Amino acid sequence: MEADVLGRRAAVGVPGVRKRRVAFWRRLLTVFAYVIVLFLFGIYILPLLWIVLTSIKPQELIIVHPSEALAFVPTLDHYVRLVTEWHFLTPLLNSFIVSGATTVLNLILGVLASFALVRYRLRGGDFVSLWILSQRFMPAVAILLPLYIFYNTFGLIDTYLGMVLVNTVATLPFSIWMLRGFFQDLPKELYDQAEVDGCDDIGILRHVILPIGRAAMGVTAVFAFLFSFNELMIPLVISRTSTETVPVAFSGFKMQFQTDWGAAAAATVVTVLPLFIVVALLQENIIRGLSMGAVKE
Amino acid sequence: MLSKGSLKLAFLAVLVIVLIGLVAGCAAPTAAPPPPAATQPPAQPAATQPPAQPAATQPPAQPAATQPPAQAGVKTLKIITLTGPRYEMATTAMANAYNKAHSDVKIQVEAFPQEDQIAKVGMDVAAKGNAYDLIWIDYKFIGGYADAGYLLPMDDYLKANADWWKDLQGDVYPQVLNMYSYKDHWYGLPNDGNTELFYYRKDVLDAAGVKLPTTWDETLAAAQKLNNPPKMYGLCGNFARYWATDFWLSMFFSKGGVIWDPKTYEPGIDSAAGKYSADMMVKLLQYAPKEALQWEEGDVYSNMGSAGICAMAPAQWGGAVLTNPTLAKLADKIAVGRVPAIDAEGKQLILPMGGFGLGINAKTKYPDVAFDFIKYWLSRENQQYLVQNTGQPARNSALTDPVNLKIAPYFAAESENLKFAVPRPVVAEYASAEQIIGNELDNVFLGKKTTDQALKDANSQVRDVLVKSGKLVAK
Amino acid sequence: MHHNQIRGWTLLSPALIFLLALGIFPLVYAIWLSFHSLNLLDPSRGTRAVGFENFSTILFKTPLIGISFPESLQITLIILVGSLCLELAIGLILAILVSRTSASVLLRMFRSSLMVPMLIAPAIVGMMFRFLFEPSFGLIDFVLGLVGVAPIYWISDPNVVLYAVILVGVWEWLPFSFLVFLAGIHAIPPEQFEAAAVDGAGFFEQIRYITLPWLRNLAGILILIRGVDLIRNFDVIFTLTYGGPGRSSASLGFSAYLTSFKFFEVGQGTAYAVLILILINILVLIFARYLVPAREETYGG
Repeated sequence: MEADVLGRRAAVGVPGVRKRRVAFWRRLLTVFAYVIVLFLFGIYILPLLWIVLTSIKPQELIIVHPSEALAFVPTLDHYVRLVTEWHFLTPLLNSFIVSGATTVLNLILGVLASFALVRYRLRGGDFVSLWILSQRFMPAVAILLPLYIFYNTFGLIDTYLGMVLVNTVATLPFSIWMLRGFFQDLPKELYDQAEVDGCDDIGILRHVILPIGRAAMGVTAVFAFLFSFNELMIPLVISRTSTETVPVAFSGFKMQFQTDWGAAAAATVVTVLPLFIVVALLQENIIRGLSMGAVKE
Repeated sequence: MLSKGSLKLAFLAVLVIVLIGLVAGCAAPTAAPPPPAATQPPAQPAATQPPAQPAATQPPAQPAATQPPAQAGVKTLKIITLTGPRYEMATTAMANAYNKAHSDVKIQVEAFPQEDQIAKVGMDVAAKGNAYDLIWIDYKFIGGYADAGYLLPMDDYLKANADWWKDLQGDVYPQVLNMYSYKDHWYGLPNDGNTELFYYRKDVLDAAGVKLPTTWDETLAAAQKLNNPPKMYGLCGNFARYWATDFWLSMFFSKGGVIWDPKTYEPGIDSAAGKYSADMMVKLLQYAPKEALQWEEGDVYSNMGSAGICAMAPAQWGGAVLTNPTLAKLADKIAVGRVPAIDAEGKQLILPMGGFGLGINAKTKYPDVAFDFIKYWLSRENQQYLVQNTGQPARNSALTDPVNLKIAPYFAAESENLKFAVPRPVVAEYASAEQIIGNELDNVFLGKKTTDQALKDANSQVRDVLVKSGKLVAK
Repeated sequence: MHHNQIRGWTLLSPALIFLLALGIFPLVYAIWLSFHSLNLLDPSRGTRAVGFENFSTILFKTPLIGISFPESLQITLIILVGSLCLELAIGLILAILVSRTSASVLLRMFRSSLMVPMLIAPAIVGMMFRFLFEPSFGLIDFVLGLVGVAPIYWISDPNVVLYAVILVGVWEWLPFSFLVFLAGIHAIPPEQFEAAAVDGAGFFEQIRYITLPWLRNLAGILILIRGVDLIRNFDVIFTLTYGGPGRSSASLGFSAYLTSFKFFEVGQGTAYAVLILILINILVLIFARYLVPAREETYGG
């Protein structure tokens, strides 16, 4: 797929001299590109590597000058402390529970809504779509106090239900937009054929779209999951210890007296690793999803 | 590009996570919701109005005997505290010990960094909620919370426990205790006493032939002499945000400054004392690490080993500082002394007060248990246990107890200091005032404003706050 | 037709009801609150209607937090423009470079590691960089020191702190724009380049007349997504700089938070947030046409 465009093009009927000159430039460009890619690699991998290293360093080597901190005996001390002292498994589990349930709710509501938006020429449909999208852009700080009062009234503070509801509100608009883009991309013939076969709309949704749309829904799910997983401000306010999520737990590493960098680094590794595995498998689709479907394969 | 296989695998993985979430998500709300606001305590309808409570229902002196264990299962109370050894570890230890002694009570500890803790409690105050039964509280918020009806007056409980109360009054300096009294009611009791101290590298000062300074001008001279960056800075302290205000206050108070007149509420921030203090901080900043402008409270503690003199409210000497291996190596080289608090004439000793107390939510279901826990925490016999678990007591006997001093040698200086400590104002407006002053001090440090201008601005802004809340009549 | 309308709205209604129920109440309450004065620490003063006072204070005077909306907006715009320009420009150049050479093979080997920053919660990224930016033990100043650069006080120097914020944002989101652009370039039909080459168009002409026009819509979407996030920017500022030193990096989102939850002036803070909301909506309206691209065809009906 990554055709060596310049190279191939250079071979198409170009005089010899130019060909050689192009070849030179091409080689220079290639070398340059390699250097850039390696440099990029360094910029991205070094900080991450440093965090991983920090997580296995003994405590006394964490806040010393890096030149004195490179030789050390690896230790899993921080990981142990993460579980025993910081009880990090609870927020980790909470995050997975809340984000998992949020994802399911997102898919159910999102598929129905986006299908409706695309399939029927709803009067005011464009307006509704935009309004839904604008919900994603709401600054969380505006709704914190209203939300707290609302939740306090209904006893939703520090419940999984409350966390899932608010996270769904925060992620649903994006999910609807992604799924909407996907439905729009389906060829019209697909719908027509299904209609000829005698499917009603729900039938089309069930027998035609859901089977084809697995990938799209998978990516939507990943996003809903990630957005919900990474949300800080709202959970900071409506969660307590029993539903505390990972980002909230992180703010706890900034203690009154000193930041526990070792535990924070270990927590980062523990948190990112499972997400990373899923995303590494789905990377191509993720890019498509992030650009709201504007990039096609 | 992406193989069908890996796609399938990823989808399955997501599905599994989602399913787990679904199962747990459905099961959880029934398992873990806190007592919803709708189902208010049926048992004690009069609980929110303690003055109306007949004296007969008061908790007697013996805690264990008073709690009938048969009463409808376990009473769960939540206490909100701050993260960090001095707070969270101490609270957890006390709560666990109390739970152990009372099989029908479960006190749950929730700890947050100070910024979050204040915001969380503030939200609950505004929503008139009952998310927490017991609140770890900075005394500067007492007035605001009490006015909002959020805190339970403890007067009746204190009356019912007269002997214990008398003992406490005799053992805690009145200026420490009185911070929790507001409009003639007791809204909290001090479980943690604190003032600003100097931590200094004794070896470094000795090597340079510098004596521990007793005035701020001497401090400046010492810092200049000790300064040898980046190995050793002359001085460290908090120069950022509201913590800068605390640093400033220790000079401001010692020079006789008052934030506002306690009677007329006319602010006096831009007085000569204020200017002296701000100018002094600018001079001291030259000998502090540049990062100090962005330090949070904890960063000062991390850096106390690499500065000659460190001005700050004590870190958890027994906890954080000694468990931090870098600092532990220096433990016997770091000594503790009093920040200069003697005014120019050498007469007056004045220090800004720190410290914390425990308050009870007016809406708690179990005010009796809540008070009993505070009593348990503050009791004479439990103080050694508290200190062993990295707590920092407010009781003078505990601060001078030789057993405790072995764990936390700085308690001696602390106890001396508390004698001369002056509380910051216990009205709601102070929380804004310290933010404003910190803000304007930062403007000075960053060179955005002159000292005069910044203090003038701070003064007029604080004035606005007081006018807005009706404490001061606009000119 | 009418029948379809009902069916469509029925399918749409669960999501709509959900968003309305949980989204509208807080919004309406927030707007109501922005015209009132309420102090969290001093609720005894009650909630008083103050008309436009909150808005006039934050727009034209120095509010309690010491930074007015226009000043905060300026900081936000610097971060916004700086981050967007860097992300788009570097992302584009890299994408073109990589798509045109065999370096893409190398890239594919570690593309997933490029995606890691996007996975990490912004709050955690902020924490991470606070650690990495540390002048005495941080990695960044150490590496720079190896090539002879004097220590930079990334987050404590008011003249540098905004660069630090921009840098962190770019670090987290550059791979995003890069990978999106790369995918966009790969979606260009190769025939277009072939035809151009036959016509004698060189490297730069091809980019100018084929690649860039193709990527225009993508750039619009990138600007929108990142722009909105940058205007709301809170998490990174909260954990990295806390708006400091002083208020040097107090972005709009952070200032709103500070007003509401550090100075407890909830009315004023909410007014701040409402202004942010208006600003974002203007931005979205401007860029909405990129989001509703030429897809006139609607199916069924």
